[in-house]
Amino acid sequence: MILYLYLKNNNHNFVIMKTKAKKERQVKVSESTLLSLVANKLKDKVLFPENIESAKEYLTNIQDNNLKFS
Amino acid sequence: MSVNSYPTLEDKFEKNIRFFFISTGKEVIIKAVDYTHVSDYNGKKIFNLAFGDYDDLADKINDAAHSNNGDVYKVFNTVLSTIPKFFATFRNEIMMVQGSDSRQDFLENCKIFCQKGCENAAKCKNKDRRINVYTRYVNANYDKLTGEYVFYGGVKYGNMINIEIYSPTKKYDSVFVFKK
Repeated sequence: MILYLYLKNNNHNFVIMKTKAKKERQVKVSESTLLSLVANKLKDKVLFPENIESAKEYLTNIQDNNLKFS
Repeated sequence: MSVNSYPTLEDKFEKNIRFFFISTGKEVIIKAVDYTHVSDYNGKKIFNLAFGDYDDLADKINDAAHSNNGDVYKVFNTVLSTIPKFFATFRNEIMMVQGSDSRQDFLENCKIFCQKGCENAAKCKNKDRRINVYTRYVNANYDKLTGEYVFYGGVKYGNMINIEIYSPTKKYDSVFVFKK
């Protein structure tokens, strides 16, 4: 709409493009294939950025009480 | 632990390991469990456990979702079933868990959208629900779990976090786990 008003107010010629309705096609995939597709799609993303930042911040405040985790 | 759980797909990286599974309750929801290296402590790596629903429209994981998909125990069992798999890869490291609903921003948002008369309450009823689910599980199975794992609990005092040997009678903000 913003683009339409901009073009109209500036006396531009414009063409409204009609998009053809696409027919939906269903493709059957196994659960493992679906999960692989999602995993692949997300592989370069940080999945839980807020959670990770919160954990890092939380851990910076650990009191030094000679905790050895052993 | 894995008797009533969903099969998972494992995806390993240098600094993290992820598991994906499909929850088939009322709806079909793809879920992700992620262990990311967040810090080092006394020569051990600490990995944070996070869990959420895949939002295919936004193409990201939502860790605040309450999907109410009718399979809460099966989903929880599936999350738990990833813990031995995590330690199979990171044998000598530490896993930590905090609830995404334990963060300060959760409390602030909860107050804004509160519908159960908690406008004036300092606390939201839903806060800390997730960490409470984990600690209830640990408490109920403590003797069995301590045969294989060591547990520590974290408690916030002002700005400081005190970490101590886990006691099933105490309330914790975070739980730390490693293999014996």
